[in-house]
Amino acid sequence: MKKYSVFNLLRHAWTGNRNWPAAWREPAPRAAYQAIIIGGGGHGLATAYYLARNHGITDVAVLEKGWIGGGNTGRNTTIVRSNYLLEENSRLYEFSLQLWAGLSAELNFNVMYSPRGNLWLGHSDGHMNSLARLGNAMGVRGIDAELLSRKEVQEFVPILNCGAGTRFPVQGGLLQRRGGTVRHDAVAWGYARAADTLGVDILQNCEVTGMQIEQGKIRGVVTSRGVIRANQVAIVTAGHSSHLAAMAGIKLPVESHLLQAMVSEPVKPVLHTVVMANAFDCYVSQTDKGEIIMGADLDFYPSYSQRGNLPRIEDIARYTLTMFPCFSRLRLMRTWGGINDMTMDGSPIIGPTAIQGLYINGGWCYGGFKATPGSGWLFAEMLARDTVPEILAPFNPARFQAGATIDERGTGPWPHRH
Amino acid sequence: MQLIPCPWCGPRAHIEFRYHCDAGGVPQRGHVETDTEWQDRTWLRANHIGWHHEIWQHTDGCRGWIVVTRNNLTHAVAKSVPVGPAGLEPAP
Repeated sequence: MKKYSVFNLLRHAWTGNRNWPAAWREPAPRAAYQAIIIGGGGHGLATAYYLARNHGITDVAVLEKGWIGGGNTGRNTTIVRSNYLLEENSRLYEFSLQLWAGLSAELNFNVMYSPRGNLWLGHSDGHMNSLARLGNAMGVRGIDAELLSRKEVQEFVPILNCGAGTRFPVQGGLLQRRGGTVRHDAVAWGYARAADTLGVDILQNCEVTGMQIEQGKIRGVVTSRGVIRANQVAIVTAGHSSHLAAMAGIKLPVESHLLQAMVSEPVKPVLHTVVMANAFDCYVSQTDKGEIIMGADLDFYPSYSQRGNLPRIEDIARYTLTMFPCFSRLRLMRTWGGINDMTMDGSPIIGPTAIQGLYINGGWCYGGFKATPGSGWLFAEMLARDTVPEILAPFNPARFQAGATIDERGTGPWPHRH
Repeated sequence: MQLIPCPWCGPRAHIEFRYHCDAGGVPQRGHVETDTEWQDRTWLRANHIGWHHEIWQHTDGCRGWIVVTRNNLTHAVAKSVPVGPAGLEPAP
């Protein structure tokens, strides 16, 4: 790997930027690997990278059916935060948030981590009470949280419509200053380049169509590029976890739903933070390119289609304009949809399965992106040492039958309501 | 937009309806479940790509409960019938 630096930038500028080497190789699949990771998204690539970096295991293949980062890693709204109420979630997402801070230097790739703050709005007394409780829960764990009054919210985001004349007047908010955004594509590319440098094979256009299981042990996978053998296989396929698990005869506590997001045309800097209105589950921020990026709740019916319906787009636009009437003249530039593996308690499922050597890391609902580095770090530890790291222990897929759910919203086994 | 044929109101846009759950896990009347069966029905889902029986309610219409046979990849809707054993015939 050629290290990216100012000197290299100048040198390549001198030759018209025609001689940059490819960021990663395109190897042919080998017959066997020590470990196979199915899914070349952020979590899969991060797992491969940390397997090589932290544990010296480089005989690893990452299998991706399309192109890396083409699934949910490239479809989210790039928000990172760790403002969770339950301790299990709190520890996992806080671990990730700390890794985001140093990731660009670690990967020698600018992932554009921008701690621009993450502001959750409160719209009623009850809502402010729940935000205060959330802030206190974060505070006792040493995670930063500030409860803002309505005046402070207005000062922090001057273009936000807090006025009494609106349908949902803003009463205040909870601000996590270390939250913010990270460039999602750069995360996939950065991890891919760094993992490839350490010897990991990234195999694109390699779809897994079956699993080879002998006497309860995983022995390899059947792919569109031939059979590849390995005694350790990890399913890290957000959006298709059930589909892959079914190949091994495993049924998951997952229902796949559709989530949409969209961006406006780019404009000059106008919104310097991430604003989330929980009253209607809408989140808005501005990308570094200047687009206003908007997202909201699910489309509320199971779907594998990766494309959404217009009524939800209309809802998102309406929610956004409720908060920011000044965006009313912006033109919508692009909309897209992704598949969300919604679990029965709204928290991910990570751990070994009933098949020896087969692991799963999925069911991230609509919160997976922010966990990418922490998930990869800890999951790599699980694969390398064949033990469950303490932070991941509560996320065992078998927790449901034991009644030990991690239900952040307390809504019960209704996957689309988490 | 998906067009769902309500057995009582005729074809209507899907935003008039609310998805409730997968119909595959509904227990059969008179069957006494074991603990394992109950756990599996409560927590696990087939969630395969393709045709499913789903329970929806016509919330912004007649408020009737229906079993919709729908493809979760193409969003094609084959049929819908009132809730009951007839809705659970094999999908096309």
